[in-house]
Amino acid sequence: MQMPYASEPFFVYTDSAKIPLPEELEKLVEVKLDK
Amino acid sequence: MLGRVFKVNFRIFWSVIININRTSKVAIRYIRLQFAMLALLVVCGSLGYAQSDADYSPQLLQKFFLHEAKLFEIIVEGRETAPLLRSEPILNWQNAERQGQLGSVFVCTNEGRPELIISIFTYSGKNGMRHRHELISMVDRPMKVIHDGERVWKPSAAELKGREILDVGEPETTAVRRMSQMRAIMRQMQGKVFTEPPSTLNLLPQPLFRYTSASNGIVDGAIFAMALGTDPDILVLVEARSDQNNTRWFVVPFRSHLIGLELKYRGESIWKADFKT
Repeated sequence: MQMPYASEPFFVYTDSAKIPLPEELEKLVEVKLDK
Repeated sequence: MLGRVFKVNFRIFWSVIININRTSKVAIRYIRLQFAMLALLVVCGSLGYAQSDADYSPQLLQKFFLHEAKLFEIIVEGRETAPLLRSEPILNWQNAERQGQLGSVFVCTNEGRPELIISIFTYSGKNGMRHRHELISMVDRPMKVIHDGERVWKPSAAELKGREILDVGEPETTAVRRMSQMRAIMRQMQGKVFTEPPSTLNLLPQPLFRYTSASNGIVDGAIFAMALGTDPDILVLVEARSDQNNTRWFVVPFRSHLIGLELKYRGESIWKADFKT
């Protein structure tokens, strides 16, 4: 989870983080979701 | 490197142009070669752009959102069992008004009741495609949420009392009729998001999630969304709660955006959330 950008006692909205490039992302989701 | 190649090519190009009359055949061949190289650069450039933005299909991003959601570990204070993540998102949404953002909403439940909402969505940044997390606790106990063994969020107990709704009568005895009552309640809601200028939210026609939870005295319940496009900004729990004496309807709104929000029921303001920074 990224750092909170804004939060309340029971709500949090985080900073953004990079999404891997499509080719890397394909591999990442294949490997992790197949587990 | 590319700059140096371009500079050298530019010098040769000019010398060819200057001497064009003397070496016309060679010059024409060279000019053709330059145009071919220019075309190649344009193609490579557009491919590079595609790599940074356009090649993310919604299906691929939705798989990524699920992968991200599965990295959450949830511990509810005073409980041995953790809320369970439903592996199907309860909503996949897209928002043309917010830079074409795309997201998925997941629910974690315990004994049927939703206790944590995990919303993961794209965010357009200068450095390519990015994403954010948004978490909403719906449990009346403190919890600890850990993502990928790293960052921890510790929400306090959520406020679940809600507002009783009296004007649709007591909850009906069949699930079909209760759904009609829930829809009738939601049709009387007006949601607003305080963007500049403020926008009216629309009610998504289908509830995102429906549930019962005998251990929590919930005969029937559903999560409805007030949205911009299909992007939810306010989530509303509508619950038929039962105690020893009777069964009654309650609504509990939750923010699903950091911008200021308001919810009205039959024109009366029943909930507000300030802009969060």
